[in-house]
Amino acid sequence: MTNRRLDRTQHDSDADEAGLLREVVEGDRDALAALYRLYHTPLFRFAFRLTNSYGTAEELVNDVMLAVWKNAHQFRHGSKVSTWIFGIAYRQCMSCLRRKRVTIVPDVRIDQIADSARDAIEDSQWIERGLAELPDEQRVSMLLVFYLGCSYGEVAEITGCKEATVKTRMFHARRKLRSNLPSLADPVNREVKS
Amino acid sequence: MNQAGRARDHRAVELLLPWYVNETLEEHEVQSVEAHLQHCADCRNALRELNALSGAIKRTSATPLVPDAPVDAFLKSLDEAQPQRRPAWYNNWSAIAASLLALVAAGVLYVALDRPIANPDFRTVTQAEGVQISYVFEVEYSGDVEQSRRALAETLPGAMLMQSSGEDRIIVTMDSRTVSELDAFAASLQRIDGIARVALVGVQLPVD
Ligand SMILES: [Zn+2]
Repeated sequence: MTNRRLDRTQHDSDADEAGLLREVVEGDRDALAALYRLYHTPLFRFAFRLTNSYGTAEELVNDVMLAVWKNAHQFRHGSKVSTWIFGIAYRQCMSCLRRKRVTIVPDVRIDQIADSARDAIEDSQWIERGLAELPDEQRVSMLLVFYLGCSYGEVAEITGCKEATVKTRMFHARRKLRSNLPSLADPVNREVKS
Repeated sequence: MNQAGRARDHRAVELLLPWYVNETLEEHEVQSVEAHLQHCADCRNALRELNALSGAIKRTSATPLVPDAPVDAFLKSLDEAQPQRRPAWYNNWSAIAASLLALVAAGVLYVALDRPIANPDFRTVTQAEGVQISYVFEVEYSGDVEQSRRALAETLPGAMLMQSSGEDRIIVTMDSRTVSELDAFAASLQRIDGIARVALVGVQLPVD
Protein backbone atom coordinates (compact mmCIF):
# COMPACT_ATOMS: atom_id res chain seq x y z
CA MET A 1 0.00 0.00 0.00
CA THR A 2 1.43 3.37 -0.94
CA ASN A 3 1.67 6.25 1.47
CA ARG A 4 -0.17 9.21 0.09
CA ARG A 5 0.65 12.05 2.42
CA LEU A 6 0.19 15.79 2.26
CA ASP A 7 2.30 16.09 -0.88
CA ARG A 8 -0.43 14.43 -2.93
CA THR A 9 -0.38 17.20 -5.54
CA GLN A 10 2.33 17.79 -8.10
CA HIS A 11 4.23 19.81 -5.54
CA ASP A 12 7.98 19.86 -5.82
CA SER A 13 9.69 17.67 -3.32
CA ASP A 14 9.66 18.86 0.25
CA ALA A 15 13.36 19.61 0.08
CA ASP A 16 12.74 22.08 -2.74
CA GLU A 17 10.04 23.78 -0.71
CA ALA A 18 12.33 24.00 2.29
CA GLY A 19 14.89 25.59 -0.02
CA LEU A 20 12.33 28.15 -1.15
CA LEU A 21 11.52 28.91 2.45
CA ARG A 22 15.20 29.50 3.22
CA GLU A 23 15.28 32.04 0.39
CA VAL A 24 12.14 33.67 1.78
CA VAL A 25 14.00 34.18 5.08
CA GLU A 26 16.57 36.14 3.13
CA GLY A 27 13.79 38.31 1.75
CA ASP A 28 13.58 36.71 -1.71
CA ARG A 29 10.23 37.65 -3.21
CA ASP A 30 10.53 35.30 -6.16
CA ALA A 31 10.79 32.39 -3.76
CA LEU A 32 7.73 33.65 -1.92
CA ALA A 33 5.86 33.99 -5.22
CA ALA A 34 6.77 30.39 -6.08
CA LEU A 35 5.41 29.15 -2.75
CA TYR A 36 2.32 31.29 -3.24
CA ARG A 37 1.64 29.67 -6.61
CA LEU A 38 2.16 26.18 -5.18
CA TYR A 39 -0.11 26.64 -2.20
CA HIS A 40 -2.77 29.00 -3.51
CA THR A 41 -5.15 26.30 -4.74
CA PRO A 42 -5.00 23.87 -1.80
CA LEU A 43 -5.14 26.72 0.71
CA PHE A 44 -8.01 28.37 -1.10
CA ARG A 45 -10.05 25.18 -1.21
CA PHE A 46 -9.33 24.43 2.42
CA ALA A 47 -10.35 27.95 3.49
CA PHE A 48 -13.37 27.97 1.21
CA ARG A 49 -14.61 24.67 2.60
CA LEU A 50 -14.40 26.10 6.09
CA THR A 51 -15.92 29.53 5.48
CA ASN A 52 -18.03 29.03 2.35
CA SER A 53 -17.01 32.46 1.19
CA TYR A 54 -14.81 33.33 -1.78
CA GLY A 55 -13.88 36.67 -0.26
CA THR A 56 -12.94 35.22 3.10
CA ALA A 57 -11.04 32.37 1.48
CA GLU A 58 -8.99 34.81 -0.61
CA GLU A 59 -8.29 36.90 2.46
CA LEU A 60 -7.23 33.85 4.40
CA VAL A 61 -4.86 32.67 1.67
CA ASN A 62 -3.22 36.09 1.66
CA ASP A 63 -3.04 36.19 5.46
CA VAL A 64 -1.44 32.75 5.53
CA MET A 65 1.13 33.64 2.89
CA LEU A 66 1.84 36.91 4.65
CA ALA A 67 2.50 34.92 7.83
CA VAL A 68 4.83 32.69 5.79
CA TRP A 69 6.70 35.81 4.66
CA LYS A 70 6.97 37.21 8.15
CA ASN A 71 7.68 34.01 10.03
CA ALA A 72 9.71 31.93 7.59
CA HIS A 73 12.63 32.11 10.06
CA GLN A 74 10.53 30.17 12.57
CA PHE A 75 10.21 27.13 10.32
CA ARG A 76 12.11 24.26 11.88
CA HIS A 77 13.97 22.41 9.19
CA GLY A 78 13.31 18.74 9.51
CA SER A 79 9.57 19.22 9.64
CA LYS A 80 7.50 19.42 6.44
CA VAL A 81 6.80 22.73 4.76
CA SER A 82 3.25 21.71 3.86
CA THR A 83 2.50 20.74 7.46
CA TRP A 84 3.91 24.02 8.71
CA ILE A 85 1.91 26.09 6.20
CA PHE A 86 -1.34 24.24 6.89
CA GLY A 87 -0.68 24.68 10.61
CA ILE A 88 -0.74 28.43 10.00
CA ALA A 89 -3.85 28.08 7.83
CA TYR A 90 -5.54 26.03 10.54
CA ARG A 91 -4.95 28.68 13.21
CA GLN A 92 -6.04 31.53 10.93
CA CYS A 93 -9.19 29.70 9.84
CA MET A 94 -10.09 28.81 13.41
CA SER A 95 -9.77 32.36 14.65
CA CYS A 96 -11.68 33.60 11.60
CA LEU A 97 -14.49 31.14 12.34
CA ARG A 98 -14.60 32.33 15.91
CA ARG A 99 -14.84 35.96 14.82
CA LYS A 100 -17.77 35.43 12.50
CA ARG A 101 -20.04 32.44 12.65
CA VAL A 102 -20.59 31.35 9.10
CA THR A 103 -23.33 29.00 8.10
CA ILE A 104 -22.46 26.56 5.45
CA VAL A 105 -25.53 25.47 3.62
CA PRO A 106 -25.47 26.17 -0.09
CA ASP A 107 -28.82 27.11 -1.53
CA VAL A 108 -29.15 25.69 -5.01
CA ARG A 109 -32.43 24.70 -6.66
CA ILE A 110 -31.80 21.17 -7.77
CA ASP A 111 -34.51 21.03 -10.43
CA GLN A 112 -32.85 23.87 -12.32
CA ILE A 113 -29.63 22.01 -12.74
CA ALA A 114 -28.65 19.73 -15.61
CA ASP A 115 -28.63 16.04 -14.76
CA SER A 116 -24.87 15.78 -14.99
CA ALA A 117 -24.35 18.43 -12.35
CA ARG A 118 -27.16 17.19 -10.14
CA ASP A 119 -25.29 14.31 -8.58
CA ALA A 120 -22.41 16.50 -7.56
CA ILE A 121 -24.72 19.06 -6.00
CA GLU A 122 -26.83 16.53 -4.15
CA ASP A 123 -23.62 15.03 -2.90
CA SER A 124 -22.34 18.38 -1.81
CA GLN A 125 -25.59 19.39 -0.09
CA TRP A 126 -25.79 16.09 1.67
CA ILE A 127 -22.26 16.22 2.98
CA GLU A 128 -22.21 19.94 3.70
CA ARG A 129 -25.39 19.74 5.70
CA GLY A 130 -23.70 17.10 7.79
CA LEU A 131 -20.37 18.86 8.10
CA ALA A 132 -22.02 22.16 8.99
CA GLU A 133 -23.39 20.58 12.16
CA LEU A 134 -20.00 19.45 13.40
CA PRO A 135 -17.94 21.46 15.86
CA ASP A 136 -15.23 23.39 14.00
CA GLU A 137 -12.39 21.15 15.17
CA GLN A 138 -14.14 18.02 13.96
CA ARG A 139 -15.01 19.60 10.63
CA VAL A 140 -11.42 20.72 10.08
CA SER A 141 -10.17 17.24 10.99
CA MET A 142 -12.46 15.71 8.37
CA LEU A 143 -11.00 18.05 5.75
CA LEU A 144 -7.42 17.49 6.81
CA VAL A 145 -7.86 13.74 6.60
CA PHE A 146 -10.11 13.28 3.60
CA TYR A 147 -9.42 16.34 1.48
CA LEU A 148 -5.73 16.89 2.18
CA GLY A 149 -4.93 13.27 2.97
CA CYS A 150 -2.99 13.99 6.16
CA SER A 151 -1.66 11.20 8.35
CA TYR A 152 -2.72 11.34 11.99
CA GLY A 153 0.76 12.55 12.89
CA GLU A 154 0.42 15.42 10.43
CA VAL A 155 -3.04 16.34 11.74
CA ALA A 156 -1.56 16.40 15.26
CA GLU A 157 1.22 18.69 14.11
CA ILE A 158 -1.09 21.02 12.17
CA THR A 159 -3.65 21.36 14.94
CA GLY A 160 -1.15 21.29 17.80
CA CYS A 161 -2.95 18.39 19.48
CA LYS A 162 -1.90 14.99 20.68
CA GLU A 163 -2.32 12.07 18.29
CA ALA A 164 -4.78 10.48 20.70
CA THR A 165 -6.91 13.63 20.60
CA VAL A 166 -6.80 13.63 16.81
CA LYS A 167 -7.99 10.03 16.66
CA THR A 168 -10.87 10.41 19.10
CA ARG A 169 -11.91 13.64 17.39
CA MET A 170 -12.30 11.80 14.08
CA PHE A 171 -14.16 9.03 15.85
CA HIS A 172 -16.66 11.48 17.36
CA ALA A 173 -17.00 13.29 14.03
CA ARG A 174 -18.06 10.07 12.31
CA ARG A 175 -20.47 9.22 15.14
CA LYS A 176 -22.03 12.66 14.91
CA LEU A 177 -22.26 12.53 11.13
CA ARG A 178 -23.95 9.17 11.35
CA SER A 179 -26.66 10.56 13.63
CA ASN A 180 -27.05 13.72 11.52
CA LEU A 181 -27.00 11.87 8.23
CA PRO A 182 -28.91 8.64 8.78
CA SER A 183 -28.38 7.74 5.15
CA LEU A 184 -24.67 7.51 5.81
CA ALA A 185 -25.17 4.17 7.47
CA ASP A 186 -27.51 3.17 4.68
CA PRO A 187 -26.04 4.24 1.34
CA VAL A 188 -28.87 2.78 -0.74
CA ASN A 189 -31.35 5.17 0.81
CA ARG A 190 -29.17 8.12 0.10
CA GLU A 191 -29.97 8.04 -3.59
CA VAL A 192 -33.72 8.10 -2.94
CA LYS A 193 -33.75 10.98 -0.51
CA SER A 194 -31.92 14.20 -1.13
CA MET B 1 -7.20 -13.51 21.90
CA ASN B 2 -9.33 -13.15 25.03
CA GLN B 3 -12.34 -10.90 25.24
CA ALA B 4 -10.58 -7.94 26.87
CA GLY B 5 -7.81 -8.17 24.31
CA ARG B 6 -10.32 -8.25 21.50
CA ALA B 7 -12.11 -5.15 22.85
CA ARG B 8 -8.79 -3.30 23.04
CA ASP B 9 -7.96 -4.38 19.52
CA HIS B 10 -11.37 -3.22 18.31
CA ARG B 11 -10.97 0.21 19.89
CA ALA B 12 -7.47 0.68 18.51
CA VAL B 13 -8.47 -0.35 15.00
CA GLU B 14 -11.65 1.70 15.03
CA LEU B 15 -9.58 4.80 15.80
CA LEU B 16 -7.20 4.07 12.92
CA LEU B 17 -9.85 3.53 10.25
CA PRO B 18 -9.93 7.09 8.83
CA TRP B 19 -6.24 6.78 8.03
CA TYR B 20 -6.70 3.31 6.62
CA VAL B 21 -9.11 4.99 4.19
CA ASN B 22 -6.71 7.81 3.28
CA GLU B 23 -3.85 5.33 2.99
CA THR B 24 -1.39 6.99 5.34
CA LEU B 25 -0.94 4.20 7.89
CA GLU B 26 2.33 2.43 8.44
CA GLU B 27 2.54 -1.09 7.05
CA HIS B 28 2.22 -2.81 10.45
CA GLU B 29 -0.90 -0.74 11.21
CA VAL B 30 -2.42 -1.70 7.87
CA GLN B 31 -1.84 -5.34 8.72
CA SER B 32 -3.51 -5.13 12.11
CA VAL B 33 -6.48 -3.25 10.63
CA GLU B 34 -6.93 -5.82 7.88
CA ALA B 35 -6.65 -8.75 10.27
CA HIS B 36 -9.25 -7.21 12.56
CA LEU B 37 -11.67 -6.31 9.75
CA GLN B 38 -11.99 -10.00 8.86
CA HIS B 39 -13.88 -10.77 12.03
CA CYS B 40 -15.45 -7.42 13.06
CA ALA B 41 -18.68 -6.39 11.35
CA ASP B 42 -18.84 -3.10 13.30
CA CYS B 43 -15.51 -2.01 11.93
CA ARG B 44 -16.52 -3.08 8.41
CA ASN B 45 -19.59 -0.85 8.73
CA ALA B 46 -17.52 2.02 10.06
CA LEU B 47 -15.16 1.56 7.13
CA ARG B 48 -18.06 1.77 4.67
CA GLU B 49 -19.23 5.01 6.28
CA LEU B 50 -15.76 6.49 6.19
CA ASN B 51 -15.35 5.56 2.54
CA ALA B 52 -18.63 7.32 1.73
CA LEU B 53 -17.56 10.41 3.67
CA SER B 54 -14.13 10.45 2.13
CA GLY B 55 -15.55 10.21 -1.39
CA ALA B 56 -18.13 12.94 -0.81
CA ILE B 57 -15.62 15.29 0.81
CA LYS B 58 -13.10 14.77 -1.96
CA ARG B 59 -15.64 15.38 -4.71
CA THR B 60 -17.15 18.47 -3.14
CA SER B 61 -13.82 19.94 -2.08
CA ALA B 62 -12.75 20.02 -5.67
CA THR B 63 -15.98 21.80 -6.63
CA PRO B 64 -15.29 25.48 -5.96
CA LEU B 65 -13.59 27.06 -8.90
CA VAL B 66 -10.39 28.53 -7.66
CA PRO B 67 -9.60 32.01 -8.91
CA ASP B 68 -6.18 32.56 -10.48
CA ALA B 69 -3.50 33.07 -7.92
CA PRO B 70 -3.32 36.88 -7.67
CA VAL B 71 0.37 36.72 -7.00
CA ASP B 72 1.22 40.22 -8.25
CA ALA B 73 -1.36 41.87 -6.04
CA PHE B 74 -0.15 39.80 -3.14
CA LEU B 75 3.48 40.79 -3.65
CA LYS B 76 2.45 44.43 -3.86
CA SER B 77 0.60 44.15 -0.57
CA LEU B 78 3.85 43.08 1.10
CA ASP B 79 5.21 46.60 0.81
CA GLU B 80 2.64 47.78 3.29
CA ALA B 81 3.16 44.80 5.54
CA GLN B 82 6.77 45.28 6.69
CA PRO B 83 8.69 42.07 6.10
CA GLN B 84 10.14 40.38 9.14
CA ARG B 85 13.83 39.73 8.59
CA ARG B 86 16.58 38.62 10.81
CA PRO B 87 17.54 39.84 13.30
CA ALA B 88 13.93 40.17 14.33
CA TRP B 89 14.70 40.55 18.00
CA TYR B 90 16.56 43.76 17.22
CA ASN B 91 13.40 45.40 15.86
CA ASN B 92 11.54 44.09 18.80
CA TRP B 93 14.01 45.39 21.23
CA SER B 94 13.64 48.92 19.91
CA ALA B 95 9.88 48.58 20.13
CA ILE B 96 10.20 47.42 23.72
CA ALA B 97 12.55 50.27 24.53
CA ALA B 98 10.09 52.76 23.09
CA SER B 99 7.27 51.26 25.14
CA LEU B 100 9.42 51.38 28.24
CA LEU B 101 9.94 55.09 27.85
CA ALA B 102 6.28 55.71 27.25
CA LEU B 103 4.92 53.67 30.13
CA VAL B 104 7.43 53.91 32.91
CA ALA B 105 5.22 56.18 34.98
CA ALA B 106 2.43 53.66 35.39
CA GLY B 107 3.82 51.58 38.28
CA VAL B 108 3.28 48.43 36.30
CA LEU B 109 4.56 48.26 32.83
CA TYR B 110 2.85 46.31 30.12
CA VAL B 111 4.83 45.58 27.01
CA ALA B 112 2.95 44.02 24.15
CA LEU B 113 5.03 41.68 22.04
CA ASP B 114 3.14 41.78 18.80
CA ARG B 115 5.93 40.12 16.88
CA PRO B 116 7.82 36.97 17.73
CA ILE B 117 11.36 37.28 18.98
CA ALA B 118 13.76 35.23 16.90
CA ASN B 119 16.81 35.22 19.14
CA PRO B 120 16.33 32.33 21.60
CA ASP B 121 18.83 33.73 24.11
CA PHE B 122 17.12 37.06 24.33
CA ARG B 123 15.94 37.56 27.88
CA THR B 124 12.84 39.64 28.03
CA VAL B 125 13.63 43.11 29.27
CA THR B 126 15.81 42.28 32.25
CA GLN B 127 18.93 40.18 32.59
CA ALA B 128 18.64 40.13 36.35
CA GLU B 129 18.03 36.76 37.98
CA GLY B 130 15.42 36.55 40.69
CA VAL B 131 13.28 39.37 39.37
CA GLN B 132 9.61 38.43 39.22
CA ILE B 133 7.94 39.24 35.96
CA SER B 134 4.38 38.67 34.84
CA TYR B 135 4.21 37.11 31.44
CA VAL B 136 1.00 37.33 29.47
CA PHE B 137 0.13 34.40 27.21
CA GLU B 138 -2.68 34.08 24.74
CA VAL B 139 -4.42 30.71 24.81
CA GLU B 140 -6.40 29.11 22.01
CA TYR B 141 -8.51 26.05 22.63
CA SER B 142 -9.21 23.12 20.41
CA GLY B 143 -11.44 21.08 22.67
CA ASP B 144 -13.90 21.67 25.48
CA VAL B 145 -13.09 25.21 26.60
CA GLU B 146 -14.32 24.93 30.19
CA GLN B 147 -12.49 21.68 30.74
CA SER B 148 -9.27 23.07 29.30
CA ARG B 149 -9.55 26.16 31.50
CA ARG B 150 -9.84 23.93 34.54
CA ALA B 151 -6.83 21.88 33.46
CA LEU B 152 -4.87 25.07 32.93
CA ALA B 153 -5.81 26.40 36.37
CA GLU B 154 -4.69 23.12 37.94
CA THR B 155 -1.36 23.24 36.13
CA LEU B 156 -0.73 26.89 37.02
CA PRO B 157 -2.33 27.44 40.42
CA GLY B 158 -0.96 30.98 40.84
CA ALA B 159 -1.83 32.23 37.37
CA MET B 160 -4.58 34.66 36.51
CA LEU B 161 -6.93 33.70 33.73
CA MET B 162 -8.67 36.41 31.72
CA GLN B 163 -11.52 34.83 29.81
CA SER B 164 -12.92 36.07 26.55
CA SER B 165 -15.02 34.61 23.79
CA GLY B 166 -12.09 34.56 21.37
CA GLU B 167 -8.77 33.83 23.04
CA ASP B 168 -8.16 33.73 26.74
CA ARG B 169 -5.13 35.30 28.31
CA ILE B 170 -3.24 33.96 31.25
CA ILE B 171 -0.88 36.01 33.36
CA VAL B 172 1.89 33.98 34.96
CA THR B 173 4.27 35.60 37.42
CA MET B 174 7.68 33.99 37.62
CA ASP B 175 11.43 34.60 37.46
CA SER B 176 12.60 36.31 34.31
CA ARG B 177 13.25 33.85 31.50
CA THR B 178 14.90 33.78 28.14
CA VAL B 179 12.85 33.47 24.99
CA SER B 180 13.73 29.79 24.54
CA GLU B 181 12.75 29.09 28.16
CA LEU B 182 9.46 30.89 27.55
CA ASP B 183 8.93 28.89 24.36
CA ALA B 184 9.49 25.66 26.28
CA PHE B 185 7.07 26.85 28.95
CA ALA B 186 4.40 27.66 26.34
CA ALA B 187 5.01 24.31 24.64
CA SER B 188 4.49 22.48 27.93
CA LEU B 189 1.11 24.19 28.32
CA GLN B 190 0.24 23.30 24.74
CA ARG B 191 0.50 19.65 25.65
CA ILE B 192 -2.52 19.97 27.93
CA ASP B 193 -5.50 18.29 26.30
CA GLY B 194 -7.79 20.70 24.48
CA ILE B 195 -5.27 23.53 24.25
CA ALA B 196 -4.36 24.35 20.67
CA ARG B 197 -1.91 27.17 21.07
CA VAL B 198 -0.17 29.16 23.77
CA ALA B 199 1.78 32.22 22.73
CA LEU B 200 3.56 34.94 24.64
CA VAL B 201 1.89 38.25 23.84
CA GLY B 202 3.13 40.56 26.55
CA VAL B 203 5.15 41.19 29.66
CA GLN B 204 4.24 43.08 32.81
CA LEU B 205 7.10 44.54 34.80
CA PRO B 206 7.12 46.07 38.22
CA VAL B 207 8.53 49.56 38.08
CA ASP B 208 10.00 51.23 41.10
ZN1 LIG C 1 -13.84 -3.76 15.37
